[in-house]
Amino acid sequence: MKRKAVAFLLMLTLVISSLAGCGTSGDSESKTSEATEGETTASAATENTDEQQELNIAIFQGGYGDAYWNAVVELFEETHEGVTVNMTISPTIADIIRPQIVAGNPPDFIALNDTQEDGLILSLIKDRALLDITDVFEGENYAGTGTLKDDIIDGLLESTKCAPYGDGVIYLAPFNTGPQGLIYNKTAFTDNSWELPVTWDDFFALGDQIKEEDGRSLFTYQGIYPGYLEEILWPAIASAGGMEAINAICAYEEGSFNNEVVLPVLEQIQKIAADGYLLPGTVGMNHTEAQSEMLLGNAAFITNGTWMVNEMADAPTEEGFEYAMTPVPVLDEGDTRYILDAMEQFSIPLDAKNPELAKEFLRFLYSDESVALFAQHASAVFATKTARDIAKEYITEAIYNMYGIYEADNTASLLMNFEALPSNSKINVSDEVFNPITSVMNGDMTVEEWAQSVEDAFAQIRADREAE
Amino acid sequence: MTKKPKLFIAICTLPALLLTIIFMLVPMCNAIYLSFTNSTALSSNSKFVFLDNYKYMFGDKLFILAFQNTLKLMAAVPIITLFFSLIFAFVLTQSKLREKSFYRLVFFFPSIISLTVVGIVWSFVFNPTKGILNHLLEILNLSSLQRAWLGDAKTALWCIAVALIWQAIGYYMVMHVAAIDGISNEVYEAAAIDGASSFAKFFRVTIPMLKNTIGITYVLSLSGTINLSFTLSNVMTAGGPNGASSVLLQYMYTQGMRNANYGYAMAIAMFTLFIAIILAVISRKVTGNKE
Repeated sequence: MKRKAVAFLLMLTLVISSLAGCGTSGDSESKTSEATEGETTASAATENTDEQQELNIAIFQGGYGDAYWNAVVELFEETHEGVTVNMTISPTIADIIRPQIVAGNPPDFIALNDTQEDGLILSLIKDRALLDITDVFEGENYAGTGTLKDDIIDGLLESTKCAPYGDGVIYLAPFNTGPQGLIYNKTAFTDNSWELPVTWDDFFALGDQIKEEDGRSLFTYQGIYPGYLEEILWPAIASAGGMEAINAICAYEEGSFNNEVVLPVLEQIQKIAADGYLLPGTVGMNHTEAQSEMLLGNAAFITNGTWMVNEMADAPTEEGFEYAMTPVPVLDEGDTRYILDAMEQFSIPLDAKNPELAKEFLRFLYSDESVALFAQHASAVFATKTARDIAKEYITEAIYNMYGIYEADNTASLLMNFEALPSNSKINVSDEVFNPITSVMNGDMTVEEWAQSVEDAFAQIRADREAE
Repeated sequence: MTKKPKLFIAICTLPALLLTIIFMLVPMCNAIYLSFTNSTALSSNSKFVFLDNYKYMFGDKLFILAFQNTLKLMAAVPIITLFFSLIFAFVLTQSKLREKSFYRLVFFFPSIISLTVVGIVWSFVFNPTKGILNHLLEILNLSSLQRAWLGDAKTALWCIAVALIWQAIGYYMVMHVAAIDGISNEVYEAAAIDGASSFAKFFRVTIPMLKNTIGITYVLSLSGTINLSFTLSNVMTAGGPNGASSVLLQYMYTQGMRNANYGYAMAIAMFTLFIAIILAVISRKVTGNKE
């Protein structure tokens, strides 16, 4: 009898311990903090509430880290009594919130780009599941000194990055903007008297010179993520064909990619690998590996944005490394040198439980205090007109100068975003444009084949649009 | 004669039955249903589209590429895996090595490591600058063979195959050892008396008597390849240079999780299931299953 009892007990323990696995789905780094109790005293634009309010935010943790978000959440809770912010911040935030969204329980506020690998924001856009936030920008800014949209850098709110359906209605809010281009080591260039290239011919001539004098390769990029090359492709196409060429591509028009304006640009990109200017092994490297190689002096240039400074802060570099950025080469002397803007986005899901508080949080993020915190903790600049000046005292000279390349001669800023895909489309446009680059760099595909495969993808998208 | 306690049996099996229905049958039926719709992750407006997903599938060049890659893996990996596992099993049972149990441990070990870890470890092996493979080639004076293994469209898929084979040999080896142990020693002694070499013993005695087991392990290996290739393809190459190492389940994952096209992803899953069933039926017939 005793044996049976023991056996039964053991079995019970087994069953109960296996149930321990059933719990609420974990947030990988959840941060909650208590808010003060009692009557809320409203500050300039808070809601007047008597109960505790909760705001659930989901933040992508990328090259800028999490120090800014921790600080701004704390500040928001201090200035808004009765509010608790539950933040989930992670590099894999999309995987964490996707099940929540599918279950009809989305976070109130999301900081994630539509260009991310996970495609989450893209699918929210496709399914029209984001909240219209035009009223936030038409309304007052946090300090109460004017309309919010006047504070934002010109041109952003009207672009498809913020108004994805082309009708001027804003669904995504700008987070930060920064230039992306060719990053290089200023010290190496000054010490060796290398001249920064303007045209593609200059670029390749410089490559020969550097190979002879120093031995390092001209160029590397984040091999297994060929999407980074958008920082070269779009500005180069804009330089060659102007904004009409870019807008036609954004609209998936027939013949917008496989034509005599775009093909020469594609050929220049192919030339980097075909003529030996590419760091060997690049196509198999991930982003940190490629960036490390460049920092160690094995390549002269890498495509990247200003976040690289923060992202690679602890990485070993060659002696005296100093960050600097130069625009992408152009085909002919005198062409406008375009610089692709990196603009990250905020959004509020349509089914958010607490949209008013989320909008208030959004407004708060554009305040001077928040902008200063961002500069201080992430060494980066918000997408507001005054942000660069506020940031000046916090960011290094190198980064400040990188932001200044817009002021160089004959440059222009470029915001590139494809129009929203039809909801039944099975194509990932970014993949269709950039994945072939690996084959082109390996010599397995010609530029004509690359251009034609993009055209085929565009044709399918146009067909899906008709069928919708 | 004692009466069978039917009620008691029914109650005991009920929980397991419920779990199976809820977590296996219902999702499966849902998946079949979804494959005929165009639903997406946030599907507030999914429509029944019949065979549209399937029609699109056969015209989708990425799908065809994934399908071809999967077929290549299914052709190569099970055969090579079983070949080596049979040889190792034979050596371990027939030879008189003292370190048998040590070898058994070493060969079996890869199959119990998490597959993601296997993928990451082999990614490092194939790394163009820091990997031991290129380093080894350099030491052996074969530098001309060095390349970016996972970044080259011609080799990426076979790198995944190598990792799959390495991981699976031990698993099937253990099964074959058990099967060989079932062959009475007298048969081998009789063969030895007739003057058979080890080679002949392997091909004339072991393989024929193991036919049934080999049939079973072949089917298992096929289904294992289809399933496990997803993890390795995801971890090692993320679908490889421009889809060169994408496999069916990995493409399904991309469409389902990244592009949020649940309906289309389910169509791909149904197709994969269909292929797996057909291959299993064929291979059982070929290995002459008497049951």
